[in-house]
Amino acid sequence: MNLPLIDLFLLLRARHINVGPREFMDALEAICDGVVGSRDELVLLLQTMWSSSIEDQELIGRLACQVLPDQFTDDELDRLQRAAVPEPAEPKRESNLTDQPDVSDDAASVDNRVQPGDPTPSASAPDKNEVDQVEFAIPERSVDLGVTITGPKSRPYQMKQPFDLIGDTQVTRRHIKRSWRYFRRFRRVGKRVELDVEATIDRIAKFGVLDQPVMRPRRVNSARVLLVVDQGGSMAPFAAAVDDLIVTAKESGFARLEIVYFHDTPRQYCFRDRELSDPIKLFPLMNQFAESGVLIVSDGGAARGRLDETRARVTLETITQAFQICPRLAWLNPVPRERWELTTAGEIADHPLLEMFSMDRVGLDNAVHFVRGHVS
Amino acid sequence: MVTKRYVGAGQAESGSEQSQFPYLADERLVDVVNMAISIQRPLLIKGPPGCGKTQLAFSISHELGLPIHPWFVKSTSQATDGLYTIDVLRRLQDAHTHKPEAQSVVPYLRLGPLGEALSSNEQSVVLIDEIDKADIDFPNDLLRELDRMEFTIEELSEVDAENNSMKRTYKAKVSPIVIVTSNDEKELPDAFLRRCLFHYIDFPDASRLADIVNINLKQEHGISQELINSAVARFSQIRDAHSFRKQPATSELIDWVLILHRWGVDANALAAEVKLDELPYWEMLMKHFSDLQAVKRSS
Repeated sequence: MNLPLIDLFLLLRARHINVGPREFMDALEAICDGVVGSRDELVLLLQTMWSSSIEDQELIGRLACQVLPDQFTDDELDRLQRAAVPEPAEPKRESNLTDQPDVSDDAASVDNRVQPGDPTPSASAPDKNEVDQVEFAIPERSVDLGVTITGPKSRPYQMKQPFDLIGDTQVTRRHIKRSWRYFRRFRRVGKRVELDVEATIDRIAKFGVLDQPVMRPRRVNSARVLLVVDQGGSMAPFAAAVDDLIVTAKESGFARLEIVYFHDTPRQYCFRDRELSDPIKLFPLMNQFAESGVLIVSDGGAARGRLDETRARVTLETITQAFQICPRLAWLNPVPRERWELTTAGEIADHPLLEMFSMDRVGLDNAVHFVRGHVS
Repeated sequence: MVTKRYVGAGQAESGSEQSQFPYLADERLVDVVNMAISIQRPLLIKGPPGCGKTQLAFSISHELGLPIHPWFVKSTSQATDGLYTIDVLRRLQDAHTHKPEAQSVVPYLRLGPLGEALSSNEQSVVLIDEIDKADIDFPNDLLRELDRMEFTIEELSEVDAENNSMKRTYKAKVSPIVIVTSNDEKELPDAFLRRCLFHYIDFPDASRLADIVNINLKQEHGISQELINSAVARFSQIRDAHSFRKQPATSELIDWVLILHRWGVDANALAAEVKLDELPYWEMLMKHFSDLQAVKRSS
């Protein structure tokens, strides 16, 4: 019996869902422990164990429906679980199928086909005793989990997908949130609400009496971020990913977050709104973020797949000037790195000071590490 | 499912009418709760405000007859607060005035909700409410405790513990049922998520809303079913048709129905053709000035 759990697992990993061997074994163990009793419950279990967001949960649900075959019925699941549990030594009581109204024809026929003449009561209507015995037998279950891990070859699908503008994004909202999490600069500011034990003891030592406790402000994240975002045109296919980047940044509790927009080429003027109607001078704004991080989010012409020399030149000029104001500046490119070559983006990435990161999981982490002042 | 302990109908095991807890869990949620109980993992619950995340823990406690230890996390909460707190300041003061009890840490030690649950001999429900309110390191600091269901009071010496018939390390005899809620304001660390089961509670549909209103207003005498149904229908329509800064949730609905009933509003006044801003006491559904204005402007 081959439970295609591994196929589902690999599919999820290919889609950047954060599941590892440990999660896989945990799920397998829970299945063999009899936590689930039907196909739906199996899907629900995987959704609850392997996901931590509603988006992931929906994806798991969708893929599970594709991967777990239709004939993978509740009865098969039950057989699988029973295969993992040693048969109770005592012979079971006489079957009394006629007294059990819930046995469907289908379930009965499957059971009959597999074990003709087996006195074991039907799986879909176990009697109370059997349930107790199975439960009792769980701690002693055999090592054989009844699952052959065959790898993906039995079920052909493409692990390496071509660059697909309308398919799944390279990085999920969860990953982005996680990356932002590392963008922290702690400072104690605000109301004095925390007891400073050391300072209090110092004070007692100094004055000989405890006149008043010494309080201190809480540690808060004082990191400031400026996002300079390319808008429209070749960035249109990445609008969802960029939206995720902006929304998650807003949720990340930075001391200050500014987002300005431009189209194609960052110049002296950027815009406060996506419609590019409310201009703002870029460099004076950058000046306010000189000690903090600036991220330019743009495909830099990579999506067009060719070299636009004017665009490259103007961009490089702007960047050179920007570096004089703010050394912690990085470029996030939603187009994968292998597609930068021989395009405007490749030319921009060659700037001696500029770090251009692709907007995938690793790239995003590195970009955040870079702008917060950790050189990778 | 082999064992189904939690049913999600709000009925305590004793089964009397008075012991009804106003909470209705849908089938998926019931399954997830039972899975969490079965494999002894904390259950992380997310969902829109007012969908009953917090109440779930109380409902489990009520149905299974287990004590509940709620821990309402604040932005200043530290992970150890849930296990125990020590009133250092008072001890310092007592030590300074040469009070003998300051010799031991025990008089200043107070167990937190998780600490109570782990040191207790019987199973209990622990609610860690709005875990995302605290600092992002908070969940990580609880990993070991939630994994091993044990904690150590570092400040308590062995001798001190023995003299006061306490233990330095407590390990739960029966794992508590841990329900963690989050409003998704901050992302939780992967290591924490890995140890939790996750479930998203959707906002209930109209028929479920009617059931929820019914179960919550059960004690109201003479409340007409027609009024509830009309109010729920209008409420669902309002929620679907508008996007408010603060979407009205179940608690607003229940309050609204209660007022409609107590002030004798007829169900006809809620008919579909009545405009939103002409509905009786519609303001009760709005919690933001901008939402109030938006409704007035749109009419």
